[in-house]
Amino acid sequence: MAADPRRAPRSRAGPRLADHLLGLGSVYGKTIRDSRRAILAAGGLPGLIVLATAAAVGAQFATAASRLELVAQAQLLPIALRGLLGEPIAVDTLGGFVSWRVGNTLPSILGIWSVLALSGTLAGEAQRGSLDVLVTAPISRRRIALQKLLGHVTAVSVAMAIAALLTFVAGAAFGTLPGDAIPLGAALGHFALTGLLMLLAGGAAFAAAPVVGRGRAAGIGFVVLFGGYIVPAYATTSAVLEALEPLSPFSWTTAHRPLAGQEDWLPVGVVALVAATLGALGVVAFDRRDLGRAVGLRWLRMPSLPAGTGNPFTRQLSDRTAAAIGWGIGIGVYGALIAASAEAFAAGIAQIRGISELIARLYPGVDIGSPSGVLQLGFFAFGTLLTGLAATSFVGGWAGDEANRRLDLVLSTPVARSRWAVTSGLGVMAAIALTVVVVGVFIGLSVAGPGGDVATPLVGLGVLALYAAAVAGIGLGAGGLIRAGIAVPVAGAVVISSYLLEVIGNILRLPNWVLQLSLNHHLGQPMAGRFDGPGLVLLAVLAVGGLAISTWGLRRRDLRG
Amino acid sequence: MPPIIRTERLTKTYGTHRGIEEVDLEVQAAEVFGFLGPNGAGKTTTMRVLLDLIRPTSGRAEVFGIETTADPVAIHRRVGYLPGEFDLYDRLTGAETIEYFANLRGGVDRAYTAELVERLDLDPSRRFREYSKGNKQKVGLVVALQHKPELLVLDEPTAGLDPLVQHTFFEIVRAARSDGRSVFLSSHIIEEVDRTCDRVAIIRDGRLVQVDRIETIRLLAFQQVELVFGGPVAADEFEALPGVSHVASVEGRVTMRVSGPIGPIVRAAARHDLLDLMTRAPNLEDVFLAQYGRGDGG
Repeated sequence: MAADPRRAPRSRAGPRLADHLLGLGSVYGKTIRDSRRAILAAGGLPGLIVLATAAAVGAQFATAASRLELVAQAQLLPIALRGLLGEPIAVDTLGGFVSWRVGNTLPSILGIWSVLALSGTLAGEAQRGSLDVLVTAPISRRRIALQKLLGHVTAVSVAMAIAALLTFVAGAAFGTLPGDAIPLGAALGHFALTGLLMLLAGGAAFAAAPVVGRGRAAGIGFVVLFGGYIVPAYATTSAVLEALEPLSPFSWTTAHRPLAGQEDWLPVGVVALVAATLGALGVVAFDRRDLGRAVGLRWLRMPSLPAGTGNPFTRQLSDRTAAAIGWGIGIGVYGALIAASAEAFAAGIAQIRGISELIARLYPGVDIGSPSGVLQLGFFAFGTLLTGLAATSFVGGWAGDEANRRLDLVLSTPVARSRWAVTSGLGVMAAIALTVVVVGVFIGLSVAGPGGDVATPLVGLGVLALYAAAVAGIGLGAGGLIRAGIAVPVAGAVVISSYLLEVIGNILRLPNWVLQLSLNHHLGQPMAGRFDGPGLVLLAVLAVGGLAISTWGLRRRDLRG
Repeated sequence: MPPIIRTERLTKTYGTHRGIEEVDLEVQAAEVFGFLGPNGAGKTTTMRVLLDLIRPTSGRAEVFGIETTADPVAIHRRVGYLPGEFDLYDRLTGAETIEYFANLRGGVDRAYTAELVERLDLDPSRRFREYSKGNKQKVGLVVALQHKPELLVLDEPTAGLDPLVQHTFFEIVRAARSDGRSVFLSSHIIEEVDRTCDRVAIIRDGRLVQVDRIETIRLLAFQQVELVFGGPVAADEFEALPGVSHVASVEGRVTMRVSGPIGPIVRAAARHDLLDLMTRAPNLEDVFLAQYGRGDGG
C-alpha cells in the first residue's frame, strides 16, 4: 500500500539526554541556556545587595533601642516619601528593614531583564531572520512562543530562588536581635512577588511585540515597569497619579511584605493572573500574525532628525534621535509631575515635626523646604537611574555599528578610525543632550506654570546630562578599548551599581571609600542648586577620557570579525 | 609597474585559531584576480587585512605600495570594498545609504551612481531593513563601485544576486579592467571566475596552494579522455602510459585522466577497433575540486 503523502514519517529518535542537559533539546531548554548568565546576575545581584544591607544593619542597629528609634523615624515619613522608599513595616527586624529599603526598588531594576528578554525573544529573532529557520522546524508557532515564554519564566524563577536563598542566609548570618532570622518561606514569598512584577512588565512587552515590533514593545514594557513603580509613590501629590494608581501592580501588592512578616497573597495571585494573561496574548498574537510584521502605528513613532547622511556624527545622532526623544518624554513627564506637586509636597513636609532631622540624615544637604529640594528628593535619584539607562541604550546603538559589521564598510572609506570614534562618540553625547533638553522642557514648563524658579532645576539637569555623558564615556571607552560587545554591560553595571550603592549606602553609614565608588555620590544636589565641584570635574573627565580611550583603543585593535 | 596588492608571508591568527599563514600574493594593475577557497579558508581574513580592518600577526601587506597599517586612509581613498557579510542602517533607504557613503568619500559622480542603480535594477526608495538579501547586496555593490575606485576588493560579490544581475555585475567588473582598474574578488561562481579573472589564487586551510593564470592552470590540469571501441579492451593497456591515471574499462568504453600530451593514448588506441575518441578540457571547477580532493578521483 502506498504511503499517505499527507503524513510525513515520524522520526523515532528524539533529542538525546545530553542535548536536553546542554539546553539543545528544545526551544524551552535553549531559552534557559541563553539566559544562564542573566539568571546568575538577576539572582546574585539582589542576593548580594540583601547580604550587604543585612551586614550593615546588623552592625549599625545592633540594639533594640536603636531599632525603635529607626521605627519612629520611619513612621514620621510623609506618605510620598514612604512610597519612594517602600512601606515601613516592621523595620525593627532585619527582614522588615531589607524589605522596606530595597524590596520595593528591586523589581523595577530586575524587570529591565524581563522587558528586554520578552520583547526581543520573538520580535528580535524575527527581525534578524533566525526565527524563519526556527518556525520551519516541525514545531507549531504556538508551541515555540509558549516554550520561549516558559523558558524565561523558569529563568526568572531560578534567579529569584537564588536571591531568596541568599536572603535566608543573610538573616541567619547577620541577625543580631530576636526576630531577625528570615524564614526561607518568607524569602521565597518576597521574591515570588518580585519575579511576578518583573514578568508582568515583561509580559506586556511580550504581548505587544508581535504587533508593534521589538522597540515599541520594549517601550511599552518600560512604561508598565517604571510607571508602575513611580505612580503609587507620588499618587498623593498629584490628581493624575492618584487616578492612575489603581492600575499599578506595585500599588496592589503594597501589603505583601513577607520579609516583614506580613503576607497578602490575593493581590499577588492577581499579578500572576495578569502576567499569565499577557503571556497568553503574546502567544496567540505570535501564532496569528505574519512573522516579524509589525503594524504601522505612525502615531507611535517618535519624531526624528533627517536621515543624517552627512558624516558619522549626524548618522549616529539621527539613529539615536527617536530613542532620545522617547526617553526624554518618559523621564520628563515623571519630572514634570513631581515638579508640579513640589510646593504642596514641601508644605506638607514642613508641618511634620522632626522630619527635618530624618531627611537630613537620609538626604544630607537637601533643603526640603524649597520646591527645588523636593524635585531633588523626588525626581533626581530615580531620574538619574533612568537617564543612565538611556545613555546605556545609546551606547548600545553605537556598539551595534561594529557588531553588525557596518563599521567594516564605513572604515573602508577614507574615514580614519580616530575620526569615526570621535564623531560617532560625540553623536552619542548629542543624543544624551537631546534627551536632557526634552526633560528640561517638561520640567521647565511644569515649574514655570505656577511661577516657580526655572533656572535652578534646569541647571541641575545639566549635571544629569554630565552624569549620563560620564556613563557613556565609560561604555565607549570599554567598547573601544576591548570590544564593542562589552560597552553596554559595563555602562549598565555602572548605572545600576551606582544607584543601588547610593540608595542603601547613606542610611547604612557605609565607609566613605565605598560610597565614593558610586557615580551618584559625586552629583551633589543639583536640582536644589547645590553642586559638587570635584564631582563635576570627575564626571567631565570620565566623559572626555572615555571618548579619548575609545579613540585610542579603536585605533590599535582589530575590528570584530 | 609595481603591483597594486602585495603580501609577503602574511599571517593572521585569532588567539589559537588559524586565520591565514604566510600568504604571498601579488595583484597587478588592470587585473581581475580571483580568490577561491571553501568557507573558512581565509579569504575574508586576507581581504580584511588588506583594508586594515584587522592587523597582521606577522608578515606585511601593501596596497598601492603603501603598507596597510601605515596609512590606511590613503589606501581607502582608492579602494571600493564589499564585505562578505554586512548590515547597514535599518532606517535609511537605499538611496540615503548610498548618499551617506558618497558623502564619506566625497567627489562621487552622482550620474554614475544613478547608472549603477539602474543597471543593477535596484529600487533605492525602500528602507534597508525591507530589502531582500539580494537587494541589500546591490546596495553594497553600489557603495563599493560608485566612486570608480582604482581597486575593488569584493568578498563574495554575487551572493544573493539573481543570474541576470550576476551577469551585469561581471560586465561591470570587465569594464573596470578595461579602464585599467584592478579587481580582487572571491566568489563561489567558479564558471564566472573562470570567464572573468585573469589570474586565480586557491587558498586552503589558510595557505595558498595555487596561484596562476587561468590558462596555465588549465594546462597543468588533467583532461578527461573517453575512448569507444568495437569490443572489450583491457584497462591495463593504458594504465602504464605516461600521464595516465584513473583508467576504467566497461564493455568497450574506456575512460581515463590524462596529464600532458595524448599522442601515446591515441597510438595505443589505434591498435584496436576505435570507434570514437572524446576529450573534455578541464575547467576551473575541476582544478578547484582536485585541489580539495573532491574531484572525480581527484
